[in-house]
Amino acid sequence: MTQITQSLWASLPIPALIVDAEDRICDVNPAAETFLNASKKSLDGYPVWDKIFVDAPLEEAFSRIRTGHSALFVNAVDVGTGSRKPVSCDVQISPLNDKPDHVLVLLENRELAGRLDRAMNSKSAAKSAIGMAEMLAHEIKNPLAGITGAAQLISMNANGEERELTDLIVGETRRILKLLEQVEDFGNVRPPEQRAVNIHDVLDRARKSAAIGFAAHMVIEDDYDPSLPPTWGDPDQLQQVFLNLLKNAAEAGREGGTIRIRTFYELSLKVRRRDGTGGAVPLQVEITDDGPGIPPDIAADIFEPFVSGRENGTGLGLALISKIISDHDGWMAVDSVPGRTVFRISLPVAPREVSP
Amino acid sequence: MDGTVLVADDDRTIRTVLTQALTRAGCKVHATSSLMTLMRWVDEGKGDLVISDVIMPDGNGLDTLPQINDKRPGLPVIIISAQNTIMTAIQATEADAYDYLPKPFDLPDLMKRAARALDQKRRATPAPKPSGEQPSRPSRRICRWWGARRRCRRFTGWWRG
Repeated sequence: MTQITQSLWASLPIPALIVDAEDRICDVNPAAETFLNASKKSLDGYPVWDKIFVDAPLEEAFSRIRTGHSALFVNAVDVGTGSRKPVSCDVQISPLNDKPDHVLVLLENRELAGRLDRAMNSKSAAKSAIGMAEMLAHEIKNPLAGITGAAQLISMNANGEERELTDLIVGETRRILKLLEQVEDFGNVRPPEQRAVNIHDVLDRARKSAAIGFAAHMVIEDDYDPSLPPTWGDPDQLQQVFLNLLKNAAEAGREGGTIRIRTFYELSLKVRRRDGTGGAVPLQVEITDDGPGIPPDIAADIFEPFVSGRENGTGLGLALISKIISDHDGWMAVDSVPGRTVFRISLPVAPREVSP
Repeated sequence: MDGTVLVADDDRTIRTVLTQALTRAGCKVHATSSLMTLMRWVDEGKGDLVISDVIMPDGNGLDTLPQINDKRPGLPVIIISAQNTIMTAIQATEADAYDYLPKPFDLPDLMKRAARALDQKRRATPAPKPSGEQPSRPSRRICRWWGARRRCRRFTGWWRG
């Protein structure tokens, strides 16, 4: 390979393998090493089907490509590596130009793309929904004032039973007002005042107030990586995020259930910052509960405003967290099955010159 | 509670509620959906109290406050608004509104404030422009109200999902 081809091969962000005429791996790029969780040395020369497990008849596809010299695209293939659960990938296979019996295999992780897509969609949906709700808030307050006033006027000459009903009208309009104020507050979240913050200090504060308050009925376990560098964040806003996630976990969990807080370092994900540049988010915080999980019908939209799995939930809690984390140039994801729901927050590291 | 109250709000339900509540309390009420009509009544010397909305079809209720203060010094104006921001509260303060209430207001609360305003107006004869030494200086009252509201809201569970 020429130097430029080598550099291209090394920096290609999509896992890529070259397979020879006998279906043996003859080269992998660094992205494929990460994806397969194995080194180039341990892969080169081994039969490809010993290293990758797929749920589609790709062997046949390989022979068709070799004879027909044309490329093939297979979407949504579950690709397993033996060491971890299968990941849904789009697979592209194409013959090599100068060696037609060799094939190039590209494995694109669909879940990651889908999740990032959803995060981006959810951000813009949140903005438009909140903008519209803010505008509506003003229009709704006028009729609310009329309804409340009329009910209070009736209640002045009402008997006990009638007053119960007028109180109900006033009470319910106050509930609508509270929701409107939450929407307005949502739109007014100030930009984060970021500084170097020890994520464990923030988590400990949130954990303590959860343990003596809303999560008193749960067991809270922690599994911290004490070597984590400080993050670049607004401690008050991050505490809101963790408190809210703990509250969600506590409300989802049964009496005596367990909430697990885990922190670790993982340098695999980059997010696009507000200025368009890519930023690493290696600090990971996971909050796991053993509750019933997120209902499948709302799982994909859980970070959207006004989507809630709980009775009387406003659906603004997770949307607000998502907004705060996005303002921190971080990333947030959820993985939920019955009995295990994991919220993961990924945050950037504080710039070196300001780290304590 | 007696006196004449001028109500200016473009929302019919609010005019109905305020007219009925104030009439039952013993006041005479003139209600309009236009600031122009309100200013005509003020010019004609009508009214002992004004209750006005901010956003009206023919202008901004806050903009009429200096004119009302010039023409009828001592005529109290209670501002009610659905545009419930700190800027509205500050503008009402600066324009020397007697009081400011966000919509939806609590009717008994509004009636109490209206009764207080009418009472002060009656006792203040001849009506001087409110001086900074008066205990009921409107700007202070509005600021106190706004501060209390912000403090309360800070402790509500507004970010719960």
